[in-house]
Amino acid sequence: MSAERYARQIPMIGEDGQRRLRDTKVFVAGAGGLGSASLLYLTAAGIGEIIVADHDIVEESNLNRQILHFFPDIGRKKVESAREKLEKLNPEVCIEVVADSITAENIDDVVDDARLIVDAMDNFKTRYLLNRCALRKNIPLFHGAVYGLEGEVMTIIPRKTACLRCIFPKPPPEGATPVFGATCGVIASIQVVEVLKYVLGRGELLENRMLWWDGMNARTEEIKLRRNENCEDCGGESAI
Amino acid sequence: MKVKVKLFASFRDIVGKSAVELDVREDATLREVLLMLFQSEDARLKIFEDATKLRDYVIVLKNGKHDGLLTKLEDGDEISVFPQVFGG
Repeated sequence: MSAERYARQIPMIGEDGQRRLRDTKVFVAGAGGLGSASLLYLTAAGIGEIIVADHDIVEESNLNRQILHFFPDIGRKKVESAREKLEKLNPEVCIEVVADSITAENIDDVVDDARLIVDAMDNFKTRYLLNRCALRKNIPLFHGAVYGLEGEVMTIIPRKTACLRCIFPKPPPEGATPVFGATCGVIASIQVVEVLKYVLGRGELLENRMLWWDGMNARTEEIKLRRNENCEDCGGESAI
Repeated sequence: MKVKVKLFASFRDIVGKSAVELDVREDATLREVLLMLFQSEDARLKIFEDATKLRDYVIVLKNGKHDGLLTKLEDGDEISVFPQVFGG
């Protein structure tokens, strides 16, 4: 572990904190807009092992926001493009890639023994799989989503906080989302700060509250959240 | 009695404010409060599927939880209205 590399963060977290980051394995679902920014910051911070799953190929229309992928990467698998950049950024981090879709059948295997899940998906069908997997494995899920110049972040701790399904019981009608790359950067950065605090056991997490970032009006607000005792994913006897 | 409504994204734009405190009658329902805020036909079409149902992308929480539109409100209740964004 290079002390020089982490010289600007070790004064905040100590060598013990840096070792905690190194000894942590995380799963990042998606290497798109949110995934690009969160993967860069997780790798730069020195998270020891990162599994990233994405089945997509890099397209030109991705390049306004998916900052891990460059013009020559068009046509490459996103996870391969991501791995190349992340290994160059920090060779001390082990990057494991999954070039498949996340499905109900494979999710427990691909998440493996990761200590937490970062939600960088672009659809609720897969987000619900992440939610249920996090509940089954009793690991936290760091949710983020974006639209235009707005976005949201919430941290889900199984059996302690509202889960994704408590707040979003049904998938919305979905399509291509208009968004600036900078919106993804803001939201993914907040997700990563949450991850780092969780791993380090520091500060207050976004538990039972959703942070809403309104870029157009330069405001950050909070939405109060509570668990739903009838939630089909986390509430009642029949839940996971 | 008084209730507070926090509005986000396009719902804030429709109402013209990010937070509103309303004086409502005792036993007012969630639906009544939404109709007070979303008065025009156009505005109501953005939030309601029909008289009894919200559109699929509209999230309305009362004190942090989903509740029926006919739920009676209590003094001090806080209602949040926001869209279900999904981009990543």
